[in-house]
Amino acid sequence: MGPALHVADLGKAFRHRTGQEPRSFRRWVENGFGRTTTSERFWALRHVSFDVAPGEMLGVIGRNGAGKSTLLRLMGGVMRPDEGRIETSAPVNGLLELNTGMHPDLTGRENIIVNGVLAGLLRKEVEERVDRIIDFAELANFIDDPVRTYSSGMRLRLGFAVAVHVDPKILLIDEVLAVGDLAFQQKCLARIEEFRARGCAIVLISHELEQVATRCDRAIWLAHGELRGSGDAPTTVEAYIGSMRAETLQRTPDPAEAVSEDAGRYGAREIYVSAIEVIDRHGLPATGIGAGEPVTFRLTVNPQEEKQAWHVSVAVAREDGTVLLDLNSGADGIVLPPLTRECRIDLQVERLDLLPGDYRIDVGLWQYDWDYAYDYFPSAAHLTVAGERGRQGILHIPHHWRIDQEAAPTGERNE
Amino acid sequence: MSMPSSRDLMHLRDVIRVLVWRDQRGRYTTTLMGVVWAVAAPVLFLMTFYFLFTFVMPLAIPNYASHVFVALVAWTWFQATVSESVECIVGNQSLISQPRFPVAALPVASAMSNLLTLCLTLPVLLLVLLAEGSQAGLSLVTLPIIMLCQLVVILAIAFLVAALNVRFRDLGYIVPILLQLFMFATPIFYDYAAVPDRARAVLAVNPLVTLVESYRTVLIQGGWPDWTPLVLVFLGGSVALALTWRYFRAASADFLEEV
Repeated sequence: MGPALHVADLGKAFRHRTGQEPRSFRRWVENGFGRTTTSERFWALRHVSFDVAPGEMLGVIGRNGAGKSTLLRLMGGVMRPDEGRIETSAPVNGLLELNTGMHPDLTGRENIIVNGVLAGLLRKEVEERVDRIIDFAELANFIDDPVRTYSSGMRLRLGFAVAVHVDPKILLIDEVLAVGDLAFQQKCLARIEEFRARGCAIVLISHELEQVATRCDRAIWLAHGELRGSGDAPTTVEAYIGSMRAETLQRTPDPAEAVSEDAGRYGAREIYVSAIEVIDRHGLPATGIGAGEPVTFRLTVNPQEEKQAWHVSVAVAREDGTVLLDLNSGADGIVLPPLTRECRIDLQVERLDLLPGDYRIDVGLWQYDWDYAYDYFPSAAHLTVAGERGRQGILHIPHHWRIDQEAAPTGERNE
Repeated sequence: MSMPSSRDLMHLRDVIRVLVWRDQRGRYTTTLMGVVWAVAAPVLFLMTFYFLFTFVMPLAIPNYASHVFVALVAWTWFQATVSESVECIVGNQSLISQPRFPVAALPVASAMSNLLTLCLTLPVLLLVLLAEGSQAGLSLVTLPIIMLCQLVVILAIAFLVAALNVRFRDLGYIVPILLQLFMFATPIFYDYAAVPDRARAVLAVNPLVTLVESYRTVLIQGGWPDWTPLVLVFLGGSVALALTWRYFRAASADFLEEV
């Protein structure tokens, strides 16, 4: 049996948006109806070849901008390659954006019909599957309510339920496996395994390397639009992780000096942490606090070059490296302003309920997609939590003991 | 480009159907409200024109309410579809990035949805016609032919503006202005017969003139439409549609790059 999906020497070039290109009719007329042919092209994808056999799951990994989405769109047939070709043995289905066609005023049932047809099914085929879809989404009680009354989780379940009832022969999956609660995720993964068992060829694009390593048979690794590696999934993922780490280290200006100065610190410091202070409950710089007291980590960040989007992380770890608390702007939904000049960041922790002991503070400044550390600075500061040491455990949680015993006659206890 | 299979065509039909249905359901929660809203805009227009041109500056056109309303209903179908089509590709990025989604369904669905809205205004149109003593008779059978001609014209323009707006994003500002111009170049509130000959030579380029006049002949006077201009509109419209469709198809391969 031949491959379900055959990709041969695929290439796609985009025009650079140089501002020369007339994007508006007005400018086109003003430029004398001319076609500005000066626009440069760059290859978003080139010389990419691979096969996916029926029943096989291929992972695609690589940084943002490596060409993963372009590859996906070419395979989905919604973009036309400039070089090479794609041969498919069956229509390609996508599990890309869920809820594409959903209308909030329509009921869940009506949206199933709409979404099913938009996903490639005939209306008749969706109608045959409606009951199974409702069942899968676990929304039987709400199915005749308008979707606008649904929680976001319910909408995702509905979207996913429709998408996995298309019975694809070739399926493209883009980052959507992280939807819903854990139980629902398991169900979706089981469903995908089912497709695979039935001979469906699957291409999975994911940032979750762990998922690619464990779920996929093979993986390809894209870098700057070209195939950087391919092979069995765990090996390829490992190679990718290794190179990511190496690259960050390589971009560090002078590793030797950096190491002697601040052990373990790496990153090219396009933006860097110039100072870190631990502020105690009186608002004063301190090296120690009491257990359960508030604490503020005050970071001063400076740019060597401007960065539009970035993240900051602050972790509290034991001296042995065990991370006890890991906070970052991304997870908390904090959007940091573009960094053009010195910026001060205060991270207030209402109470630090750690056992008395010595702790270290690791801070990091990251590229917006977490792929790259501008400045990762472990043990940037130290913090002592005062009190009696030597207890087991990690936390010092406020607690009270209360012991009740059958009350003794009060008269006897009084002395 | 390979020939579409019969399943593809069935799927295209279903896609258009659900898009129309979603659009209609999104607009109106109940059928009754649907009729009210669909009718509200043309009726308000009708009342304005009626007041202006029968009382303020009388044009002395017989059956003036019918005269205006027939044209308004036809015009609304054209105008609404064209202005929706401008945004239909740019505004549906997630749909056009869906594998196997037939992009061409978007402008067609818009035309069909507005045709459905037109149907909702028919009861009011009927009332107006009856009230003014319409002569409509056997020639009503030609109505579907005139509507088909109009559909061809609408689609020809819809495909063009849908694809063009992906490249030129300011079409959203230009098209409404052009539509307004077109509206005055269409004999909606005035009488085409009263237009001076030289001006008529210019207006005749506008296919809506023929369409509106044909509707009036059939619905108000009960006569048979003038076939020569109607056939010309159909042929011209078909050629234009073939061209804009080809342009749309060629451009659609690059839609995602531009959006």
